[in-house]
Amino acid sequence: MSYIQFSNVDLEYPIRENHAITFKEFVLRGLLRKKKTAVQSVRALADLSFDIHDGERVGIIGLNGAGKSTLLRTIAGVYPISGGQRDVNGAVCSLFDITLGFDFNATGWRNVHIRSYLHGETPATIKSKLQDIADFTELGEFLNLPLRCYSTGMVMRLAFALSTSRRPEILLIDEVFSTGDMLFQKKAEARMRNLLQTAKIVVMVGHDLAFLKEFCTTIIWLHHGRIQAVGPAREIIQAYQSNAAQLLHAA
Amino acid sequence: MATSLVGRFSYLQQIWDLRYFWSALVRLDLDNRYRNSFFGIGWSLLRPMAMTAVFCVVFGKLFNLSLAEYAPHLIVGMTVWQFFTESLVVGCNTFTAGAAYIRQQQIPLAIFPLRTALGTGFHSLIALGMAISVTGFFKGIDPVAMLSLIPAIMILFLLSWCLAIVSGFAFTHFPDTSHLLEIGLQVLFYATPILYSATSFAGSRGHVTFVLEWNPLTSIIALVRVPIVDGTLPSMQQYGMSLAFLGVVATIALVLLRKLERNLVFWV
Repeated sequence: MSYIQFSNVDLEYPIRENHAITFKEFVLRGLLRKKKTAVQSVRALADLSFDIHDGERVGIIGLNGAGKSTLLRTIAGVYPISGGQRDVNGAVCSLFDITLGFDFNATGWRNVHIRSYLHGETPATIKSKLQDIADFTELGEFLNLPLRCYSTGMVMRLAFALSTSRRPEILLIDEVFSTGDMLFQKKAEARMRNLLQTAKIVVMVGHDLAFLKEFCTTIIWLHHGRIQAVGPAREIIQAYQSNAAQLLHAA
Repeated sequence: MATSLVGRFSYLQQIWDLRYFWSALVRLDLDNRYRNSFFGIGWSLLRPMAMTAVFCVVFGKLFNLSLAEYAPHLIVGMTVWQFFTESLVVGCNTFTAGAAYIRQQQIPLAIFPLRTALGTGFHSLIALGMAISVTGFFKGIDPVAMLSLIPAIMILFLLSWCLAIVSGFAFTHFPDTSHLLEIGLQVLFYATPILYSATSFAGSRGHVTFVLEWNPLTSIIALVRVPIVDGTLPSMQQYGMSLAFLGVVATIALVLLRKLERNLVFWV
């Protein structure tokens, strides 16, 4: 059984005053007994508690800077929590920035292998997926060329095919992404819907409220890193929209 | 205690589970380094070889040593030194080079310094092969003594992995690390018996002998140089000193991993 349990979770995000301090400055501050650290922290998530179980489709909404992507990365275990308890059970697949980590000097195939190995595949398990990826991307011989020879759309196709070739228990998606031309967009949408249906738990961040209303069972509304409201999708989205309308009116 | 032991084994297990990932990264690094096949390897070895040739001519004359005597001594010393410095200097960027992966999913970060150690290790093995060939040409090789290279290479590999961890963490927190390293390594180069022999100052007392005696690199280099150049086994003191140095660097690396690994994602 897959589940995500957050109990009073806090996340402090350390930020340096300047981009970084030098070793020289660090030593000098120590010698002069000045305050050693120029690091401040921002409370990105505060006191978050929720349970997500098998079959749930959860959308995360909120204004920019509300902590939506941070929450997704905290569920994935990328960010360490500074308080509370985080318990995640199930194989997690994160679709954050799907083109991140591609080596543009390496061929398409090579990138497919490296990315798949990162996700825990082995040379034996990857074999059965290669044809599917090749067919879906329709990149043909281009897969033997370095990525620097690809157009942006072609890179997106490859990234999308790779990211959606997995069958995870918990699927985390940051924004619904666009993937090239119109024809491919249709194909991508069908594949995405299939992936969303096969995962046991889906948590997605998005600004497309119509899609979230149609697809999600539950919505978590974040505001300044705290839960403003959580509940059935239609109800919470309606409340969020009227709040946004009020803010617009006030502005 | 038991929990921490289990934790360590599970950490090693995670590294092993990702073996296809980090070995693919190492292969990619080597391909990028040796792009255009054989010439790539040739060019990357050209700089240390050219330096060795220049040093051979200048210092061989200065120390009044024949080419057959001095060239093997120098080339083996330079190979080990190059491996040591590359582990530290390339290690500075080890985590920033893996930032794209670190921001996507939780993975054991020690795989990135491992990537550095394996990449530089492979290159150094080729250089070592050349050093052995040069020595064989001038002096001949003792095959029995050469067996002691196996533990020596293992010690060097572990040292390289730990050094890359330390310099990687240092660089993510202090970006002037690579600059400071350059200066420090320049000083260390002359305080290490690479150009000269550790026995050159035997009999004389003073700061130089003290530095050479306590410089751990003297022993580390001897582990490789003694069996190749002298055809004998390194002394127990040289093994002891090398293992002690490895122990210190490994302890620092483990402490850094334990304290800073989880929060590194905020700094890369």
